Amino acid sequence: MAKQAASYARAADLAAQTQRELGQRSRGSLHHRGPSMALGGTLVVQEIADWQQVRRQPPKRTSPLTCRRLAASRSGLRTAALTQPSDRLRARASRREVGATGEVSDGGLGMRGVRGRSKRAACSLRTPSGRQTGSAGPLIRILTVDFFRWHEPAPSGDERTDLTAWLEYQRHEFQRKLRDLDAEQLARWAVPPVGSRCWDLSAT
Amino acid sequence: MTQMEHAYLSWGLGGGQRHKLYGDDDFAGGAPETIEADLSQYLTEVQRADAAVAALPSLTSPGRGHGRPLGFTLLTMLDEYALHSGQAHMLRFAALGQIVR
Repeated sequence: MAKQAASYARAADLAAQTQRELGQRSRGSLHHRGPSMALGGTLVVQEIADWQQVRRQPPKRTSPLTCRRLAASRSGLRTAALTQPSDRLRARASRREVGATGEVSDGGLGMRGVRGRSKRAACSLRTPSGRQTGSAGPLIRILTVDFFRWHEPAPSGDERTDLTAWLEYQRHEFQRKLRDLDAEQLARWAVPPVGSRCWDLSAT
Repeated sequence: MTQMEHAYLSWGLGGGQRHKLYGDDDFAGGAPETIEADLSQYLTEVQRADAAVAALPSLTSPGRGHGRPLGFTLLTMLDEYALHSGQAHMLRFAALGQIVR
């Protein structure tokens, strides 16, 4: 409990720091997930002009926001919404965007309780797979889908609210499985599909 | 999960036209070139699902597509997500070649 309280305190400090930087308030409705940390996720496609430069100069881990600012300013990070972003994506993007110049704006979406390793993962601006996916050519695209870990929803006393909160949480956990993976890895079979040549004994 | 969101929530609760997003083969696999489109489609389906959930007044309200109650359907979706998140958890380890939590 003490460790969790300390974690909350650190998260609250970071939230306050981020809010001061942004001059905006956090979203109060997220209190049940722990301290709101004004650094919500954004669904964007990030295009990094020089990936090698990012790898050589990893951002310092002061805060996730600062990490992204540093990396953006160093690498010429720019973002583009998905080809046809939905209203939900626009809404999320409006809460926090990394602009073409590396500026970060945040409408106050909470980061919803970031803890050690996931925070580091969020700060990490390596290739999604942790390796270089090609030459140092431009425009390696990364999907970032709010990979910060959320706290599980607390009981609200209302069954419908609880069910929808858990659905949102589970969706988020599912989306977090995309982290660290590049497009090739996302599409790769973990094992050959049933019926493929190497598993189909009748084909040999 | 795009198909799950559609079958259980956006169509199941909201009604309208039912689609088979992957044809008859849910395990046809994907391609790196379509990752963005796939993800965009999934999130769009989530948005539709949220709208369908919000449109029903109570947990006992039947869905306009499959006719099952909202509460039951939400529980089903939680089960689906728990199942497939567990699978995705292992698959990403396999894709990465290491355990990265």
